[in-house]
Amino acid sequence: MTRWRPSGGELDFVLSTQLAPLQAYRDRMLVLDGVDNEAAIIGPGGGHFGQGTMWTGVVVPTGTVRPEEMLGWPQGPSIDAVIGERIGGETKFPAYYWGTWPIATDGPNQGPNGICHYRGSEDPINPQLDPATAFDSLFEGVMGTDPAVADRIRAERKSVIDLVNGELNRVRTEMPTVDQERFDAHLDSLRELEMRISQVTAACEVPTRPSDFTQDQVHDFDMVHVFTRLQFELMRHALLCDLTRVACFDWPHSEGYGNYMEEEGYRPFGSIHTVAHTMSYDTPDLMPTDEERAIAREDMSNLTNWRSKMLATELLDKMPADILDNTLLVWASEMSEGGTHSNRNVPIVIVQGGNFGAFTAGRYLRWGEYDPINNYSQYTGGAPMNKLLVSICRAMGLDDVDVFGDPTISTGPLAELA
Amino acid sequence: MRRSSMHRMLGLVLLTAPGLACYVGVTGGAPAADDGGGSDGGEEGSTGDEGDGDADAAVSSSGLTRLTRLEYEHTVTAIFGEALVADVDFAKLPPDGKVGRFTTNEGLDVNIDSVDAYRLVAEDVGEAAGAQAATLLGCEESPECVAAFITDYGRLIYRRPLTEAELGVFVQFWDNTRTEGTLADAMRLTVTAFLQTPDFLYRLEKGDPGDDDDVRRLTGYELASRLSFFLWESGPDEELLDAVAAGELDTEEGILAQTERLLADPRADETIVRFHGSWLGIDDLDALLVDPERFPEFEALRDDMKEETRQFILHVFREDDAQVSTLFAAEYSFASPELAAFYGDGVASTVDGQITLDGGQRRGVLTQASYLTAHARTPERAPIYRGRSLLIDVFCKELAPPPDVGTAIEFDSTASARVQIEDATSGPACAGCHNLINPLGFLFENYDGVGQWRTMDGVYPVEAAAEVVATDVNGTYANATEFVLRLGESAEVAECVSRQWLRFALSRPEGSEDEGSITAAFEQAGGDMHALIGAITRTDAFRHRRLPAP
Repeated sequence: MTRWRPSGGELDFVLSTQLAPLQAYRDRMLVLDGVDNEAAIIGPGGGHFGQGTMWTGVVVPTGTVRPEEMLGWPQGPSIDAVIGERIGGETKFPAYYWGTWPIATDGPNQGPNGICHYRGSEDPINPQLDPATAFDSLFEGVMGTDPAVADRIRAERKSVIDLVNGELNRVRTEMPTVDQERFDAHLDSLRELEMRISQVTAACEVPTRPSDFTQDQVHDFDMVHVFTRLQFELMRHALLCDLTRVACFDWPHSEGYGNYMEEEGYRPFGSIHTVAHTMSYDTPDLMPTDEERAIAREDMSNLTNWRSKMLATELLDKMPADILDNTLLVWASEMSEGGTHSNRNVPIVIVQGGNFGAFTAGRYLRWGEYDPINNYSQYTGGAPMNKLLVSICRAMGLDDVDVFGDPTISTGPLAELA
Repeated sequence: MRRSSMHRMLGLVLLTAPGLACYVGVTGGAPAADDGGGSDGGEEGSTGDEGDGDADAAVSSSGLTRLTRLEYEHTVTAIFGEALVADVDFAKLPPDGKVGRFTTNEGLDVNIDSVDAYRLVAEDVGEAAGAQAATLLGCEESPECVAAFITDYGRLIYRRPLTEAELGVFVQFWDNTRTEGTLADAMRLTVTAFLQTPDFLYRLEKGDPGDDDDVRRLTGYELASRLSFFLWESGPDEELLDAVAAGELDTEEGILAQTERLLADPRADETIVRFHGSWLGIDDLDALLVDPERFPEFEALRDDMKEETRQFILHVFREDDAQVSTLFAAEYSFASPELAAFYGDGVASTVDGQITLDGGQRRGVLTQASYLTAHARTPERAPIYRGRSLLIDVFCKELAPPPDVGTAIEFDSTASARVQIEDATSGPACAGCHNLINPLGFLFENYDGVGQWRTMDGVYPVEAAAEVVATDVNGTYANATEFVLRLGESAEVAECVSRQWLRFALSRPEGSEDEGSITAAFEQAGGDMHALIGAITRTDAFRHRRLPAP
């Protein structure tokens, strides 16, 4: 965090090396230093499980999803789902989720330590990891292919859906009453599907379809750099074609072992996980020397620097001005510090498009007090994430939102952003 | 494939409960007051109830179950053949839910994304079927031929014969499509549609309502699906559907005969292995995060460890006596040369990959590196994780949930991990549970974080002896190999094995009304896991469905 933090004051701040690639956006940025991922702190699920609390503002409760820790899924929607539902309009997807994230809701290690986004209570969303599959679901039906072929495919899908709809209705009436609501949910989803696939999106620039990758490649940490670029390209075009208005992207989380950074010109001494722990870690067998810590901190800085660079060069720089002006980008991590797994003072960067007036940009904002020798357990007085969630909702036009997530944590927006 | 894993660094380590109490009960327990009609559950068991009024059958409620990804893939592959589905990307199917360690979609609703995922996969299968239209049809295209195709494939897809009305719907659909397009188009769209229907995607259990509308005896076809999804994780084959049509599943003998047939089939191998992998948490090994700097030898052995357990389980079931005692205490196993070398002098001899163990170091599945590693996570805390797994997975005990705020043990090099765990968990807030958990875990202190035999924990001699106090085989044991010898005689373990198999068979957690079925199955099987499966498929719980309360 000390290397992430800008220097200088609220207005005359200078971006750290980690954030320097975003320099061109400095005057549209808000660097937030001192926001607490509060729902993770009050628990039961904290640390890595802060991924489940970050965008939902509710705790990860006890449950059976993670038998080892006896934790369940968060019982609330994440902000992306709520905003997407409200501003999605007629777009094909209320929100779309990309990732280079080798964990799945039903993988052997499934859990809110790996899933950030939730459609509703206990309803986790898997980001699409495979760029080719993402391409197919996003761009099928987008004008650009032969219109006659596209029409025929739509007509065929409609006929299949009609048959399935008929079968669902028959089964619904035949099954016992208590089962019928299951089929109501299915029928609702089928209607949504019908809308999704009958959508004719106006002609727009369709990117090249990414090549097919094997599942092993898709789940390979060492290819994160490849997938980041492919997914960012799809993200840009999805926004450009107005296929969705909420685009979420998850980078591999903090437990990964992989050395893709090497191909990006960095030389980490170990995996991300090891690096993160070495910065401050304390198990008997992994007691790092001061020198090792210094190297680990350098490595982690390089990683964040690379991510800043990807955001700048692969996403923001390539977005047309009118799209960029109407985009609010929020970049955050669920933890602030590798060794203690602290969910306090999580790093957050916002880039606000020119047409947004909700926040006063070009500022570096700080809350709370922290121990100067890196002891985040001593950190106090941070601003709750839940207030930021309210602020983001309002910035996106959801003016009636006054509470997001657990109302006992906080209500109202983060006033300092205005 | 390696996916990510997690080990939580904070919390969970110290289970807090008020005072010294740690609720340890057997899962399930007494019938709940609102469950109704539970009083006769215990004695009813698997005795035949051939009548149609099954209001007195004891079974807890279940919602509808949707096929898991694996069930979907197996079923489609069985119907259309491996060659046809070779290019279908089943990885696109929607994610599954879990209950405890078992995968199931019982009671889980679909949403737009899962429905869309089903569409994508159905289109892929349809595409492949369209390319093979003439072969699939199998006769000169004519109304009779098309009707025969739909009748035959419809029966496999709906897992029962289509009704006249359903046949009519699909014939009409085919005809409409054929008017607009080619034979391949008609085949493609018909298959695409079939695979998105609720009869295919869900295991629809209407049952026959008896006197009590809420407790329904499954029809023959519904029971056939339960049998087949249980033992093959796939839909029924023609022979099973024929048996239903002949009324064979109406009798206990018929059910047993089909259970035996399915169990004898090689398709059950994967199921047997998967059950144990889920139950004992060994499947986690696939994605487990093990520090390569600390255990550099692990990565090369990861697959060998899983393979050892796979071969061992199958051997116990297929070649040996399938006894619970054998599973936990057999003095043989199977190891690659590399794994055998890793086990060192724990291996007495090797013949063709089968190893004879030095029983003083290893015996049974719980001393295999796969299990030991899966429950080590952070190696210093292995005794807690292993002890917890013993209590919960092997003895089916319930522990109090973890405290809201946990405290991590800060391990250092001042003492052995055992001593530090004992010190850190001796306070009143922790001891209630840890007095039960720790000794079971300490017994396994001779195995390090990846299951290698050791006599030293760093600079401290390993102390593996401990007094087990939470089970029906309590006592002081020198180490794990001594303790696992007693598991075969533990009634708690035998009942737990029955409970775990029933959970797996029913694709849902058991309720209090299922207790009679669990007891009946394990009493009938007497420690024989092969017989246990035959007993389970004839229990009330397996043959009935109680509708959930509205």
